[in-house]
Amino acid sequence: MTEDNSTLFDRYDIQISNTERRNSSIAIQDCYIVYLIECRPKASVSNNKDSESTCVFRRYSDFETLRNYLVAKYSWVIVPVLPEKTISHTWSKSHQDRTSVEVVERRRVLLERFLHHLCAHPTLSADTAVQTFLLQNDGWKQIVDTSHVLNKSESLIPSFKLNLMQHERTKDKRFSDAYQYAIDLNTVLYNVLRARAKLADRIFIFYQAHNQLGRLFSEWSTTEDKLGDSLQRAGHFLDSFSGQIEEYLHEEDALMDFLKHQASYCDVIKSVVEKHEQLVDDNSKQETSLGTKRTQRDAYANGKMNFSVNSLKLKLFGENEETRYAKIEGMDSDINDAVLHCQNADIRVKEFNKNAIIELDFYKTMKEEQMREILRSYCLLQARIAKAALKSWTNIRDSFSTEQAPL
Amino acid sequence: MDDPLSRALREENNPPSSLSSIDTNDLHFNEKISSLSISHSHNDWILPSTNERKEEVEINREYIRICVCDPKKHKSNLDSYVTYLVNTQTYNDSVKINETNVRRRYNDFIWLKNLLDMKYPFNIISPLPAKHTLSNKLHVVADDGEFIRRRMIGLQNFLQRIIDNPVISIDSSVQLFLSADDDTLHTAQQQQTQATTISSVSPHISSTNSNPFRQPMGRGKPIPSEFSRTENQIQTLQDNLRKLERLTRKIETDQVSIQTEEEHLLSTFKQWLDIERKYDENDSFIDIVSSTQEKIVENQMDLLKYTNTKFIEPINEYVLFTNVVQDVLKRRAQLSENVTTNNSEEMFDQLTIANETIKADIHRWTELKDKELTHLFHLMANKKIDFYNQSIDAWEQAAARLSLPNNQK
Repeated sequence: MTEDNSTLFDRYDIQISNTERRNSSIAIQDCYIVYLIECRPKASVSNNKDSESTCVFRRYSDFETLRNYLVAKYSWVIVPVLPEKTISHTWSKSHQDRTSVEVVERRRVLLERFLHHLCAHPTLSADTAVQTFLLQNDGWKQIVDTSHVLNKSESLIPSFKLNLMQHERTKDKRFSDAYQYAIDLNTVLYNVLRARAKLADRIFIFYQAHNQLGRLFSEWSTTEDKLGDSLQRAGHFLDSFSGQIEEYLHEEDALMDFLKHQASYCDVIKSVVEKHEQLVDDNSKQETSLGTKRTQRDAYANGKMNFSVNSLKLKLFGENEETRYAKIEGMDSDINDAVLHCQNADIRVKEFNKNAIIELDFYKTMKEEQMREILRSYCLLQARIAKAALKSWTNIRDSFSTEQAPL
Repeated sequence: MDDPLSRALREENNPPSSLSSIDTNDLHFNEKISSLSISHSHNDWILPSTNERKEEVEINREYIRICVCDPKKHKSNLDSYVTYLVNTQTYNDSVKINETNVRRRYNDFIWLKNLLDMKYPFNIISPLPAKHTLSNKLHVVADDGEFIRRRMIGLQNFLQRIIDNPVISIDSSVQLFLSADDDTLHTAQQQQTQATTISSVSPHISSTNSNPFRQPMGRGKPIPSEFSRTENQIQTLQDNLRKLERLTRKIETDQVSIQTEEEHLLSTFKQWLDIERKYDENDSFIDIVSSTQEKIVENQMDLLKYTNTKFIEPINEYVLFTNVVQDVLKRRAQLSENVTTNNSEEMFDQLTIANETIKADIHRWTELKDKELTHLFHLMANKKIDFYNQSIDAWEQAAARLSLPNNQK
């Protein structure tokens, strides 16, 4: 693999160019969708040794496996998110009479976005599993399997979740702020999505009503003499006005999918902060246990007995100097181990924090750029909707212009 | 000045109140002269061929523009009412040759309307804006100022349409209404009331009293097919206008819900902005979108207000207008029925005049309707065009600002 600073995104044009429905070999009625990932080396990058384009087929579950692997391996990284399995926050018409083809298309777009984010990430795009996933037909699964990170992480999750319940939030302001921000942003983005879905519903009804108006104009035109022509033309344009909105609203849906995709990053941030908390928590636990070990040893060495069953036994059966020393020695080595352990853990926490902060900054820049792009597309779409409406209404006005009243 | 037949018909219930209006001032005198030129066309028009009449209208370049404005509240112990300034400007070849200003209250308009209805049972007199009813106040207009504003528009339309009618515009009471001082008008009004009581007592002619005409007409009587066709046309028109009114009101309701949701979306954008600010993030992108959305909401509000006052209300008014036309047609049918039962020579003449008057008026009314409805739709579309132009500008500006790199706080 090339070892320079450029990400995969800099070197390749990556797109999911096609989808295919496949039947599973076990049961015929079980079918799944494969996505064709195409990577074309960018012409602008001169020292590209592999100038051939590559094509690989991947299923949604493959994407999931890859992502889980990355989350487990790079715990401090805000790993890009996959599209949800179910579609939420939609207006009434976006679901209706939509074939699975359109659902697949929506997912395709978001998976492509996932790949783009993945490849634009300096750490993740350098991972061999990611590169193999994109550029080679086979092999990526073996890398994932042999790394064994997946099993480890899975065993970690339940105990960790339990931990969180009684655990208080981290003291580190950078992390606690990021956590709170993620929660707030998530809430507000879902509010935006909900509000827009409702609005889309209303707008659709509004446009539909113009269809009725158009019909009335057409009917009315047959009974009018001079006004008839104007009414008929206006009726026609009102019809086309009412018909144009649905397509635009579906386009808006796609943008809202992107926004929702952004919202799901909030959960990733939260889990990174939680991992940080877990590490800090583990560290402090070990430090406390080291502390207790130390006091126990000191107490033992000074001969101060406490009233444990053990000490009572020792008192009863008399103390052997040799066993006493051996015991203290054993305790000392135990403490030394623990100290080493603590130091390691401390280094790990510091390392994690450093990396995670870099990650959070990276996310911030990415988020800003993404939001800007999404909202810009949203504005442009609104302008286009208004333009189409303008055209219709100009036509309607011109229908009534032939005999304009002098005023 | 009129042909003898129509004068005879008019003098039946026209007390010499017109005398009192002659001695007002020379402004009024000018008005009289200007109306004389219109009365010429009136002579030809009583039994017209359509083409000739059209030419007449084109030759006559004189026109009158009416403006009802400047409402003032008056309070006395007994009564509190609003008067409006009625400004009349007469132009000849776009040169202003005369202008009068009077203050009138709604009741004065009612007086004029009733008087004209009585004097010209076979002419189409524009309806007045609806009375100040409770339901009106509750559902349509929230505040007093808005109600007065709408009423003024209605009153102005009423007067302008009267002025645009060659027969009605020259009536002495119209001139009186437009130019006489308050005392003169009140005297005339009192005389009118007396005259009405007298004439309603005299059983001679039923046209003085409008009540019998409101009754359903007899069935089985022959009606000229021409008029039954007109009646059908008016009925269809009214049905369509009613449907139009219903639909536009529905669309208005839809638009109001859009407005509500747009506002809601705006508030979520603002929440978003608050959060970015709270955590010291770069907020420029959401700031741009939020302020754009705010602009859209404002524009939409404006559009909504326009739609209600300048589009739905006039449509509603036109439904009332078709009612007036229907009333006139019913009166004619009643008269025609009377003629067939009584078989009197005198009444037959009356019917002929009535038929011709109605034919001409409906013709004119249809033209006016085409023109006004066209104008109405045209203006509405124009307003929409304005709105969408503003929206395009706002969104495109936002998009341009969003594409600028390093749009830092």
